[in-house]
Amino acid sequence: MTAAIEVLQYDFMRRALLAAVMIGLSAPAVGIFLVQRRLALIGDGLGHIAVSGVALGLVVGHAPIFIALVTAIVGAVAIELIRARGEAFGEIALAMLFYGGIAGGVVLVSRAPAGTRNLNQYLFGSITTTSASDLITFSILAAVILALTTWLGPALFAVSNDDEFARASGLPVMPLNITLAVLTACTVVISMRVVGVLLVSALMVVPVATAQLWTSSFRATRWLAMAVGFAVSLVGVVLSYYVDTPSGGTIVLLAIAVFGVTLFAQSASRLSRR
Amino acid sequence: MSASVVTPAVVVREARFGYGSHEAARADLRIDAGDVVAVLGPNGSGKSTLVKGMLGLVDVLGGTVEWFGRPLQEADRSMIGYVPQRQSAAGPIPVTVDELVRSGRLAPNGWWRRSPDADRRAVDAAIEVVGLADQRRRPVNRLSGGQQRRALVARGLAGGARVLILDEPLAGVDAASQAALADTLRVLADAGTTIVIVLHELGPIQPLVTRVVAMNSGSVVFDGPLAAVPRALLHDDHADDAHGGVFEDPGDFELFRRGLFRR
Repeated sequence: MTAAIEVLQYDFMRRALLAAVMIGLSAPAVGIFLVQRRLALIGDGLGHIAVSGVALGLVVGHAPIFIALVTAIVGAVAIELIRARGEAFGEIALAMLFYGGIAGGVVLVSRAPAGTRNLNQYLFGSITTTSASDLITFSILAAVILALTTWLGPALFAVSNDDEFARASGLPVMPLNITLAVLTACTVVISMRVVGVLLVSALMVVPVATAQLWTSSFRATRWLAMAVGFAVSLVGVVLSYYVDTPSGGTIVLLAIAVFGVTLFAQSASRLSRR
Repeated sequence: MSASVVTPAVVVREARFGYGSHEAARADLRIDAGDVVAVLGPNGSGKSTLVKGMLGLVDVLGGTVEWFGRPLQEADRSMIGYVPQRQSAAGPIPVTVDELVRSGRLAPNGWWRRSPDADRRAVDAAIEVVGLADQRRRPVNRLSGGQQRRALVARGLAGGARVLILDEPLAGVDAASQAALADTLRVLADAGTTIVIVLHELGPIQPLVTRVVAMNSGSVVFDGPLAAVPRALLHDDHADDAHGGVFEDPGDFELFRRGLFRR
């Protein structure tokens, strides 16, 4: 408790904790629909694409987060359109997009002014880098994500659970899929400072995987996954401060540890009941 | 009353359905309200493509489809309940029967609106009619295969459907579950629901069926009441005749013949 209060003395930690809360709640709120669609790793691909946007921002010396957001949204729409075509070439096209994104980022950043060529903080998170203006952007994105996943929740569930039934019911499946892809892109961007674009996918998936070990409904899984995401993000940031480790890796390892302990506890509980 | 004044639920006029430019089924059909139509045929005969084409789930390469007098694109989807072919109704995340069935309420409401009271009543009624009232809070993936199919039927009904389209609902389901599903469909048919059901074999559905549409090689090869299925299609010694005009492969014909009357 004292440790938690101590970290609140620093502005950068307060900002990092607020950003952690936003990503901790937003990532599972979007991730649950991706897991149900069996597209759990799409966030990973969008993270790769966002790297190019960050690098472009560093090169032009202006708003890397905003440029990453635009790049990730364009990438998200492109991915959804490629997937919808469903052709054999689709998977190869996605691979081109993902690896082209990260390769483009690495090449572009080499052209950035000296002293700004550090992509690592965006790739894996760094708690000291969250600025006040970042927080405003993240707050708006998180509010949009949480509002839309709640308001559109029933429709997103219907499409994620059974795409064919949703189309037969007359739902606008393609616009809903593109909306989910854009929300995923927004989540990737919120993650940029604390978790990092290459690790955010874990926060979309692991809390959901942990929650569904205990729940028996989609609704309960959603709320519990958000609670798990919130807790591991917050504790992970504090932990990364004290053990001096990158926040993204710390949060993700903590999330995986919680999953492992939960799985073990559940298996042990089952065995003891036999 | 003459047959011509009976309201057609769906009219398929010289329609060709397929994927891209590949045609997989063609048909010219009129299904009247209250009909219970079994669409039969061997694997690859185009029966699933036919019903998916009627719903706009595959490409319509030619012709027209009308639901209750309106073109497919303008059809009131809440009047059509679809039960797709599924081995499991569940995805990776647990979903209760109630949640699954509730997802069938989006068509009548409009996907952006909520009608909590009407939804509750419709979901309750749909779950009740398929006999899963005591299972409504259970995750779908913990139900038997037959119960999962009935949950899918409830989802198809929840929007207030007047037509139910089922794609191979008996596949991979044990005999007791098939009988339970047949009982559910009997209740719906007695209440006037139009039913179009894709089957490999009639099994326990046979007493309900008012009409058979037989498919082979993407075309309708028979369309009429069960009692009027041509004798040529029913006897082995006429298999060659049938083969000559209807079935390309005698094995397909045998599968079709055995399936038609197996219980």
